[in-house]
Amino acid sequence: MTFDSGILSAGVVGEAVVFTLLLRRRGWSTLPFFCLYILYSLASDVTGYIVLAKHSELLYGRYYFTQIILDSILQFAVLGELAWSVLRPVRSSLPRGFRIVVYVLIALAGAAMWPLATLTVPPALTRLSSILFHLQETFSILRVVCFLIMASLSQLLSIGWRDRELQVATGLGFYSIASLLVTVLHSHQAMGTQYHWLDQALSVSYLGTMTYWVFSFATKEQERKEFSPQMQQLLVLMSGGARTGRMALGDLPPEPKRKRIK
Amino acid sequence: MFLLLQIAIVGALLLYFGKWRKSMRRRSIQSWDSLLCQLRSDWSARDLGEQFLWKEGLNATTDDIWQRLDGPRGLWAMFQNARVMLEMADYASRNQFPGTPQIDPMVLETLRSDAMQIRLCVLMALGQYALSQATEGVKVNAFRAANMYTGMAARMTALLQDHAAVILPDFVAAM
Repeated sequence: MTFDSGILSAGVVGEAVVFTLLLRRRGWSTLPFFCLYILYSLASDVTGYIVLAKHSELLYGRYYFTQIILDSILQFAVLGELAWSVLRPVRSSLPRGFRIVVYVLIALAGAAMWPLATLTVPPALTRLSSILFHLQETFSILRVVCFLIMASLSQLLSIGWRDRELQVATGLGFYSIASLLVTVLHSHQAMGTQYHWLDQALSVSYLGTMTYWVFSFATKEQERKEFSPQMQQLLVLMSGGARTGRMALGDLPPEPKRKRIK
Repeated sequence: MFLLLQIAIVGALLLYFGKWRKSMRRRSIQSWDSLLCQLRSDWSARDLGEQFLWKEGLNATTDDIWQRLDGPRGLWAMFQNARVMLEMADYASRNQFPGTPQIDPMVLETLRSDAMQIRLCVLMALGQYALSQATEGVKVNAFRAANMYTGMAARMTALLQDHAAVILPDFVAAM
């Protein structure tokens, strides 16, 4: 078994385990596109392996081209899903149909990245390889830009991330930055052994991401901490909401009479 | 040279990503007590109103409030305290036990909305202040933020007075 086939096999096992864990943790209900993306990665890796082993390189080239396009579409869906998921705490104050706006904004960012990515496509590549390189680089930059915007906006507005979203974002973010670094280095070197080493390094980082997700999704979400009725009422008062009818606090002591707060 | 610059940018991104990840993780595991401790204690908003912490609403002009806020320093303290209030809302939604009385999601939404409005008002005021010093627009935004802030602080005081009198002095001192 070569190093490449070893990494591929480990990646397939990792994807299968991540997908199984996602199903067990009901990830399908909260992050459906991400689940679909993992399932697609699993299926495409297995199919790619079979095509490469049993058919010509030409056919594999065509298969790879189609696979990259579908992969990019799914990545776009995952980015939109993650962004929308992060906006959950403020969704009620957003206008209706804002979810579509999120996807449109990401598509516009991708369109803006496309000409930028042209600058670093190596001239020696064939037409098909050049398009593939361009597409991959565009998505590498787009993923990093999206994560940068999501992270900085969530810090600025102090929006919290749920555990699973944070785990997914950590894995994707790490892989995206590694992918961007490899793309940058690729754009400055000719084809050869060193070029392939970088691809292998990227595969290892993908494997690292899979391993992180396996451990994260296998672990139960952190235990809930104490949240007493008094704490609940603190929040109710801070939010300025009317006490009556807002929540059922049957075991709370009756509210003493006091001056009405505006 | 261009390659080195690109690598430096990617390295900086990686560093920022790591820091952000760490801060998000810290946020999700912190305790209620540590949240209360994060309220800024080196700046007090007690000069904002005659009965700050005991009564909502501000009876002062925008100029007065700007002076009482101590300019951008007070704005920044309110910005940070609003973050703590948002984290309190997150803590509440994360730590509700099944079977216990549940907080109405609307309550949390309102709290988040108030705290976020304070942060946005403060950011706008600070941005304008950086460009044009203390103009009327800056003072109006500062007044809005201060008004919402005193309202939230007064409601919190009322609750502590009724249900957690032991920690009320600490809270009053912190605010």
